[in-house]
Amino acid sequence: MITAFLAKIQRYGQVSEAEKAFLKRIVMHLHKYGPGQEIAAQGMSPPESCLVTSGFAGRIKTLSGGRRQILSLQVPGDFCDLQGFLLKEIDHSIEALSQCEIAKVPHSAIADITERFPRLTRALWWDTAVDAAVQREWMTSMGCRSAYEQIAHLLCEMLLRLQAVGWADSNSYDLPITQERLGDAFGLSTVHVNRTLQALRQNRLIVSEGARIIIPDVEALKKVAGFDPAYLTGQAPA
Amino acid sequence: MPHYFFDTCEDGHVISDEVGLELPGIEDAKREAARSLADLARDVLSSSMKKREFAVEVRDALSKRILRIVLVFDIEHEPPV
Repeated sequence: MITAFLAKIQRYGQVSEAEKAFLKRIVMHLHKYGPGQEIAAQGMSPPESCLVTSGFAGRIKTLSGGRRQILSLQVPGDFCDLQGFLLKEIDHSIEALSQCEIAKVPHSAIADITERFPRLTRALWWDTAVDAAVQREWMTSMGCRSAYEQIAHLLCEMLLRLQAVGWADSNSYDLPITQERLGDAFGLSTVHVNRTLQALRQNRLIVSEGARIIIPDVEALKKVAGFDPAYLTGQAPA
Repeated sequence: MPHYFFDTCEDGHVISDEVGLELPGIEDAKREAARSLADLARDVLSSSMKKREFAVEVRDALSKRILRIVLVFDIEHEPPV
């Protein structure tokens, strides 16, 4: 249940048996959601933070007239609202983007981590910092990249993030998110997402089989996207 | 919900949509076509281009064309005085 999360934070540093045992105890209550289902509402102050254990979730802002912006994609091992522990009120909603499972980690347990496990506390801080780096990259994509580069960039990022938590192999993964939701994430119309994916397929940069995305030549896709993975890893402490 | 297809034409060259999209009605299809044309323009328009014409054609599930939105890009220089 905490496999993906452990795999992720172990990239930052070692996790002791005592720390693992504590995490296993606090990540217990799993909730299942279907695509489009709300996990937490904007403006609420939930007493826990959501950790994705399988599938995809997203942070979303909704404007009047049904306009929606998906602000980020959360994959297994990602917290959706770790900031809620400190800020209390969450300024976005959280929604399932595919079938997904969420562990709700009580804020009291996060408080325990900060008081008893300094190394784990730093790992959570690191996770928040990487999350912010991903958001900066997202903004750069929204503002500067063409749709072709933007989608290529996200597909590269997803490959690395999913590989890090054991949900992708060397060049493929499942991305069971509709083109309509991808449009909400990219700030593009569904038609343009479809058109752009078609162009990526025609140029043999991706192959899709149902929800499976296969990247025949990862280096070629990275080149098209101008993808530099440094923001995803940071520098692990010596 | 009815199914609509959105073909893109760039200077007469048609890129046919084989996936399509389910939308509540024709007004939504029109909005989607207009937005997609704006997205396309953002990606491709540049000051180094000659006159270009882009269009999105919407077909219904029976492949009948129901509307077409055209966007023309042209730079007109004033003659030197």
